Amino acid sequence: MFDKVRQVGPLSSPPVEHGPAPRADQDPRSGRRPLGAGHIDAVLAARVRPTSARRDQFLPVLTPLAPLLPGGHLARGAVVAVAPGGGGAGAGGGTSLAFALLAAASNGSWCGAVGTADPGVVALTELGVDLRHLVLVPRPGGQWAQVTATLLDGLDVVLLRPPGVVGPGVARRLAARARDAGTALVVLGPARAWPEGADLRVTVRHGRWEGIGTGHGHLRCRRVEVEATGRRAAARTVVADLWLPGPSGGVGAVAGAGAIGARDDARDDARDDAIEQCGE
Amino acid sequence: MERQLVVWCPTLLEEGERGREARTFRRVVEALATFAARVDPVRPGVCAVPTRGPSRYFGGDAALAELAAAALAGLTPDVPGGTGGVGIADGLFAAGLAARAAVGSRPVVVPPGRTPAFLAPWPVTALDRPDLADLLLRLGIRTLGDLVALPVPRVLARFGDDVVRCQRVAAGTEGELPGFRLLHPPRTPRSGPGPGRTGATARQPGFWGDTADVDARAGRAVADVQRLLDPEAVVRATLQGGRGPGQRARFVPWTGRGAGAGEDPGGPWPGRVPPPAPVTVLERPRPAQLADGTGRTVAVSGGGMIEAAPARLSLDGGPWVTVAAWAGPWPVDERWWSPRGRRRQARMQVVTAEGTAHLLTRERGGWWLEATYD
Repeated sequence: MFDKVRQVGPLSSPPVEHGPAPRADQDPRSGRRPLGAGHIDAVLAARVRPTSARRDQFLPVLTPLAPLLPGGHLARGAVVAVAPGGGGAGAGGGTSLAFALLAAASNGSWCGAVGTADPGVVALTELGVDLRHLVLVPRPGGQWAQVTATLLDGLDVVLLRPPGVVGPGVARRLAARARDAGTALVVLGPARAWPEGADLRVTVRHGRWEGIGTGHGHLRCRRVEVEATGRRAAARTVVADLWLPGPSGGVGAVAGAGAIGARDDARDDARDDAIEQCGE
Repeated sequence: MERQLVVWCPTLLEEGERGREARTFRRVVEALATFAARVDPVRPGVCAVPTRGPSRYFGGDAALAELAAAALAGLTPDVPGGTGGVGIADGLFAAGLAARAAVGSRPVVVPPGRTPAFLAPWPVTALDRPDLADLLLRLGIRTLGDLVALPVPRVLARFGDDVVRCQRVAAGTEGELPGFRLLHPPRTPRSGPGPGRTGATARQPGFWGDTADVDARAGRAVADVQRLLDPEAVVRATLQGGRGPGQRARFVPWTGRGAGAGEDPGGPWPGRVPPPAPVTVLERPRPAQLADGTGRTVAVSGGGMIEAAPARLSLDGGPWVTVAAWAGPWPVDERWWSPRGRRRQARMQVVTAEGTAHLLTRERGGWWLEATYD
């Protein structure tokens, strides 16, 4: 049957591979390799990359979220606890905020999500998450801590939604693992879910949906007030008004609410302006 | 769309009781893995190699196809039944047909961009949808080319989403038919050339690389989690066409490459829920109760209207909460042409007094929580 092809045999010397040119959508800082690159490139790259790619590179966040984070980026090795306000119920928004925090990093770095059982994939892309760099372990079961620890070793940002309150011992171990690996750990859950002092606590305080009435319109955007409290260098409280999501699903800063941390009446005017913008 | 090499072994398509076919097929996969970094078993008797990397490495599609055919030929003397055809084309579906055409002869390589012309003369039975093929043949639509020539809105109106997808596959604009893949990637993650591989032909370096690399670190961590849980517990998400938020998501086991990502989610999908999309979409909708001011369940009429304004909501038997705002219902009547697959649904968005927004579905006389805008 294979008489003809049998004559051909394997190629004796494959052509030297130089690897394709980097694609425009790749972040050169990230150190991601194009597929199928050859040995020579890989060996060279391995010699020059390790320290620069992993340690010095900070993890970017979406511009509207930058005011919430010390230095305007996700710090490698830090733990960020994200909580919906009001003791769990509230207006929600925690899941959106947690994924929004890793959206910019996913465009070039490896991200993972452990225990987010039913992610809305369309919403993730609307938030700006690059699905190609998102490793999902939706149902880790009883092994969630071990899975998280393992991913912390290899990825750049890991989002963990623990099944309940994390014991102090487990929390300490995970925080240490994140610090050693230089990976950012984002923990999603009620404030009490993460007992250990997080480097940053981000809480959704208020949320209000726009665009929907009683029997007309549809959900168009949600205005949230997000509060961030840090420790050590970031020991300050910052409040930001955000669209989460905005009309097209992304994150936006509420126009005119730039006075961060200000709690005054001027914001209400800005809010009315912004609602009009949103409704367009 | 990803260019694929497919090996099609006609005698191994059905798995026998004694497992001989499965063992032979494993030998075929192993033979291909001696030179290709990634071999995807697709279904019994069928496996695929994405050609992008290996073709570049080995000097083109034709050379790669000959290499695969030679690997198969090397098996045949001592593995009865290990014969098959080798085909390369754009997308898994076309490559499969090319491989079927190649059984018993030389490999068939469809040049890049020529896949639509290659597909057009095949009979509609090639779609492997017997009921659909019967119907199409009765309508005088005999070939894939005939199907492609039909206007998309008409196909959508008459046959629905699934056939529009078939049409896109037949046109070569989409790579594979849903449900064609039956097998999952092998349990052992790929790593560098293992012991026993020495002496094999030149091997294309894997995606995770054999060197210290950021991707390699990520790959090792993923492989460790796969060993800890199960290979299928680690997934990547991709987008596809569909109306509901759940239908548009597809989770595929993590295999190490960006396969399937970047698929075209376009296409006509009237009745889509308007953006923004909910960030939590339940794999299995949970029961909900939506009641009006008098405590009666809110009903949706045949005309797609609600008879009373919703006032209270209870999820999964939980406490009642007040409904502050709502929109819809938006009727969804899918697969109306098929009595079995028919789903009559209506969707509503509901915001509770606490400010949480949900997407509810009315189906079979009950309300279901489909998604939450968390």
